[in-house]
Amino acid sequence: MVYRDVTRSNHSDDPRKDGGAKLSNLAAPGDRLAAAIIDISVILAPLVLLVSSPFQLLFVRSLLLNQEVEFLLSVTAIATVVLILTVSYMTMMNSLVGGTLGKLVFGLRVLGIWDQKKLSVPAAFFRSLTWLLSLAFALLPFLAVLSDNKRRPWHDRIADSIVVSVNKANFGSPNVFEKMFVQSVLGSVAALVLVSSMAIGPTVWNGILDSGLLPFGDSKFASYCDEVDYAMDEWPRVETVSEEKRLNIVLTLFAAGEVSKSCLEKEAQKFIDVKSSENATAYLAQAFVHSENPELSNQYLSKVCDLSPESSSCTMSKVVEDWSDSKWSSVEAHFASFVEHTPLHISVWALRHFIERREFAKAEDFLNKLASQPSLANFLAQQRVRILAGTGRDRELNAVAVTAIESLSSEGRLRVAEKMCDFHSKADSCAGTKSQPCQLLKKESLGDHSILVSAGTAIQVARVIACEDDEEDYKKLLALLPMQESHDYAVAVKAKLEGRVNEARGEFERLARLPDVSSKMRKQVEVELLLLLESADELYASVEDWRQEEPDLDWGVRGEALLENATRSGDYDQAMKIAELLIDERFRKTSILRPYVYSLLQSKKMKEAQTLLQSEWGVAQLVDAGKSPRRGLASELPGQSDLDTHMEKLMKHYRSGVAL
Amino acid sequence: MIIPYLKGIIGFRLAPVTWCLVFLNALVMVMTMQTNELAQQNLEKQFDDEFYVSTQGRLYAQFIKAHPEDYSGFMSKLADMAKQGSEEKVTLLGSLAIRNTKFMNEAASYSFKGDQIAIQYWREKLIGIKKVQQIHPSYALGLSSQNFSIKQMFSYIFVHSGLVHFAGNMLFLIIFGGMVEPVIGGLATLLVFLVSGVVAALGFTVMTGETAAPLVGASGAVSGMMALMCCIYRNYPVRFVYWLFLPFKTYSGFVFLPAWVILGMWLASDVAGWLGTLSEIGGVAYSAHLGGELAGVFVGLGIYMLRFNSRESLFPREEVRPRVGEIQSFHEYRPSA
Repeated sequence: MVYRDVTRSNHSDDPRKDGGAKLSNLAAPGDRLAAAIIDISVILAPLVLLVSSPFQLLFVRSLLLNQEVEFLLSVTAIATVVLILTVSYMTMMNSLVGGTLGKLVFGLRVLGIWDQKKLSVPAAFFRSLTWLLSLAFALLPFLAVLSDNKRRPWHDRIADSIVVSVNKANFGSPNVFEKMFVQSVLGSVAALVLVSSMAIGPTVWNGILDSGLLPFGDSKFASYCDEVDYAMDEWPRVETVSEEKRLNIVLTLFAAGEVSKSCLEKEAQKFIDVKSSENATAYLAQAFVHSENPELSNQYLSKVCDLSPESSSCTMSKVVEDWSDSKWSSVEAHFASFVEHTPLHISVWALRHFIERREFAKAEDFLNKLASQPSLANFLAQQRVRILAGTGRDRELNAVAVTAIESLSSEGRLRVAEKMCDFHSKADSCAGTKSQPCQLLKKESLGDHSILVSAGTAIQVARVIACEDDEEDYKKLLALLPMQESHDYAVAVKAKLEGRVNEARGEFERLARLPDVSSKMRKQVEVELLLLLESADELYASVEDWRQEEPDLDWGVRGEALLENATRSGDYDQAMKIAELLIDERFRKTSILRPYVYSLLQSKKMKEAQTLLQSEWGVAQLVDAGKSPRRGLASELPGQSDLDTHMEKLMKHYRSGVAL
Repeated sequence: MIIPYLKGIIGFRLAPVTWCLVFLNALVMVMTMQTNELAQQNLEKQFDDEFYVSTQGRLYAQFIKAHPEDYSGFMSKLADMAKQGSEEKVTLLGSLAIRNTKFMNEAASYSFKGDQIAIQYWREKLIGIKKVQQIHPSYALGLSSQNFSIKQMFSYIFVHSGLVHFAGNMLFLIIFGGMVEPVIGGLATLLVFLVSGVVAALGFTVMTGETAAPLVGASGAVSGMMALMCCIYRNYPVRFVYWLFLPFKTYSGFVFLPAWVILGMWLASDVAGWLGTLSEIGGVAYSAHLGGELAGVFVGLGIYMLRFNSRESLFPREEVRPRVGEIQSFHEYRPSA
């Protein structure tokens, strides 16, 4: 079929004829866009808002009430209103008047391309439908205004229409720049769609669902903790009132650090809401939840005993009160009052307390009570490592560590690896950092930097990095440490290992002066500085200061560093004085026994050295050194050859000047 | 975008009462600014306390379920969801509770069940919040169910919630007042302003129902001025600013459209807003706007019927009457004296 190109006009030049336009006067794209803006903002938007307002109310209600059906209904209704109003308006205006209000304002007309007359109603109808559809395609079809020779997008082609200008001169067909622009836009969009649908589409969609941008990703109320749900299945033998079972479980998991405070809060709150009454155990939980608000927390604690004076929760509330006031003997008396059926969460707190206080035998009793709880595996493994390290049971410790690293979750493995790496590196300096736990820690942390936020982990990893033989590896690993303090610590330790003592001291002193350093790092740096004291006067002054301080765990750690320093520098009298202060059960560790025995030997106090090695503590060291099987402490007296071998090892240890 | 501009910011000489109203609003704004800021900061700090908000939400849920006859199905469902453990709904109810007159009046002495420590903590916080509300200008001078009197029906007009709220209302007061006052005189303008404000307050009370959240702002009164202006000028072409988001000269400027277009646009958006807003959630007081517009229309009709015989006598003599649809660029515009 041959058609006349009606845009090559045979018509008169009078723009007011033929519907008021010359077909050769193509409308400018800017005018069309401006006309659309007027139509939308002045006519359509107010009308749509008005007519759809009841559905908007339904939309808001359904969003707030998580009602999927009503939400979909309201969205459908609003979409229908938009559709009907837009199509009606555009159809009526285009067919009756030749253009919408916006087009009329800008002197534009919509005419049939064949007959240059106003559109028929069906044509106008399909034109408006297609116009709306173009919106759904991200406005891309409208780009044809810049690329088509007659500037006719989809909706004009469907209706065989063309938009022309009455008032202005011919805008003309698109030039090459306009066409190139459209091609580049379409090409970019196509590439983006292809890449996102293939590579990231499912991930993005799941992300949108999980982000909560859509209202109905997961309508389940998070009133309970998942961790407690899992534990409920594994924890059948909790010997408490069944309705408090969840509460006791969450208290236990919280005490073990396996759940967060918000989980405890959710469970406690849910329990109170369901019961609609007060409950001693729930109030105890609330006291932990609000631990950062001491006034509120104390109100909960005091109410626990008002509600249930004979209960274990009341005793635990007293433990918490005494704990915050550091009344340790009272705390221990409360724990001792639990003769039978100690609630598990109280056993966990007792275990933690006794480990912190270096009462390892008592801690082990509580550990054994908890041993059968799978949900506490990570926590128990870590505590067992601390007990074994604290009592110097090296062989058992290594066995436990190997099992733990193989069987625990990644978090549990890391916790154990950190403790074991600390143990190995302190025992055997850089050689210790080549151990499996240290290497595991290094590998995990460099794969996931977030774990290096913990100061304890960062310190261990920094030590491991400082002991790297290859300079390139050292620099590469150093650059990966995310926190400045661990970076600086590693540099200082490296300097110390390479004998640049002054440089190391300077670095540690600078680190100690920084205000933002974590408390754990600060304590570690203090210990390093004590280990680097060089002159006898400095050592003497530090020891005198140390003796005046209040004995606590940090005091004990600083004492060990002073003891180590005194022993290496040959000040055996000083070393023996320090050791005698540290010999208290709370601070008794392998790291005290060795330098103490060595100092005694160097001072020719053979009998005292022998007595020490023959004590329960000393025997434990020999047993774990693999000299003889453990047959009962009372019968275990080391023979002379055992003593000689042990002393030889000690001499070798100190003569080699092994650091850390 | 299209915004009425009319004669723009008219001079004091032509609209002295309008300007006095603006100055009075500004004076109240300045006098209450510091107290407003301190009280608002205090209130926000209270609502930063998650424990307080969540406790309040739980107690409100309990209260709603105990008084089903006083709450809508929507609130009842929200309460159900909160009681089932939805933290999101608990927090939402916690922030909505302060808007409910019945809860705010009765909760302090109501016997709630559950965590008595939390309830006591909440009661103490509530006492603190009520004390802050007593000095907060919006609560002290605004209109609410708890604070409903003849004095409040006037004082609320002169209090604004913030600088943007104030600036928006004053801009339109000057624009509409500047068109109205030269025609009807200063006293009538003042009366219209105040009467529209009072009717807006009544409209708010009737259409929104009981609420502890105060109504503040001159927008009801300004809506009345706007409606009156539209009634007086009706088909007369007045100036609008238009901007079509395109960075070219012809796509922004002034356009002359009939005055009634303003009333149409305002009325449509206020009706849509009123119908589409949940009264429990609050927000813009569309019902106050509608009340003010109603007052303005009645006054306009009354003035028209009682006072003037022909429309031409309403208008100051102008040399050239603009045409509807006439476009004027910004640099062609010359403000009138």
